[in-house]
Amino acid sequence: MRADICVHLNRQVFNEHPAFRLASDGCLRSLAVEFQTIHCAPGDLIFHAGESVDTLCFVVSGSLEVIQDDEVIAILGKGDVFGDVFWKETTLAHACANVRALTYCDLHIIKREALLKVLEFYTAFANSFSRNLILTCNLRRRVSSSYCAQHTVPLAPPLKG
Amino acid sequence: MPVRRGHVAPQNTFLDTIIRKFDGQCRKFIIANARVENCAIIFCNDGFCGMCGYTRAEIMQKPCTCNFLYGPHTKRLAIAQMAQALLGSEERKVEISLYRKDGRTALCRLCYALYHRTLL
Repeated sequence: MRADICVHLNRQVFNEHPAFRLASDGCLRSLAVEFQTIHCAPGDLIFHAGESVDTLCFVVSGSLEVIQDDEVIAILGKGDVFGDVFWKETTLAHACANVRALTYCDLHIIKREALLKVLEFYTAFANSFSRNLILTCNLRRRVSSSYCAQHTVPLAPPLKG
Repeated sequence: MPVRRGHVAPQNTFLDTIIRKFDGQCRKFIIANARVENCAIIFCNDGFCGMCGYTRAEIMQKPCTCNFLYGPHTKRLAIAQMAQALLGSEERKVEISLYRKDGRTALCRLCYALYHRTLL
């Protein structure tokens, strides 16, 4: 009963993300029980650069910014997913950037251990999940930042004599 | 995962203001950060994703010239005009043929505009 309520509470995540489309009811219930909902105010830091990335976050409403070395590298909004691809990696990653809420946000998050436990048990779902879930922002990978002056695109097509 | 209050650094709420303004007008747009390598795309709205057929995760961090949307009919002159506008930091309107993910082509009028953030 509690699991069914949790599935209902997380219905936006389960219905909108193609990664959960092929999940069986039992699988959804196991996942839903592990999800937590957090509500952030503007200015709240979700991840601090250097922290371990041990949660996968689904944005249900609001917008957040991802700031690496004082530069905004991404703006996340409804429907976006950020964190790390735990199911493909063996070690925990250090967050390469700060993630800060710009507005009041609702996030549905699941801890790495809980997610891996469910994926280990439901192997068929694990395959489709791994194929279909593409993170909007992967905090493991740094975005190289240098000023834009090093473009090598030619300014005009060469004249043919 | 401790949630900490942000410190008193100025917030990039101007980006949120821009997004809400153009989203309200049903425009299809992307926002890119010129201070990051390749002028990486930091935001694209749902209209833009729907127009080009890619998901937001696929578009993020790509260069803002959107060369993943170019195809055989995309004129080199238009590409060059876009690149010149970027390098020269000038505002520009360019008509260009772009390709959706499924290969269909669409003639688009791209308007390139600059926003500076001034610290108060």
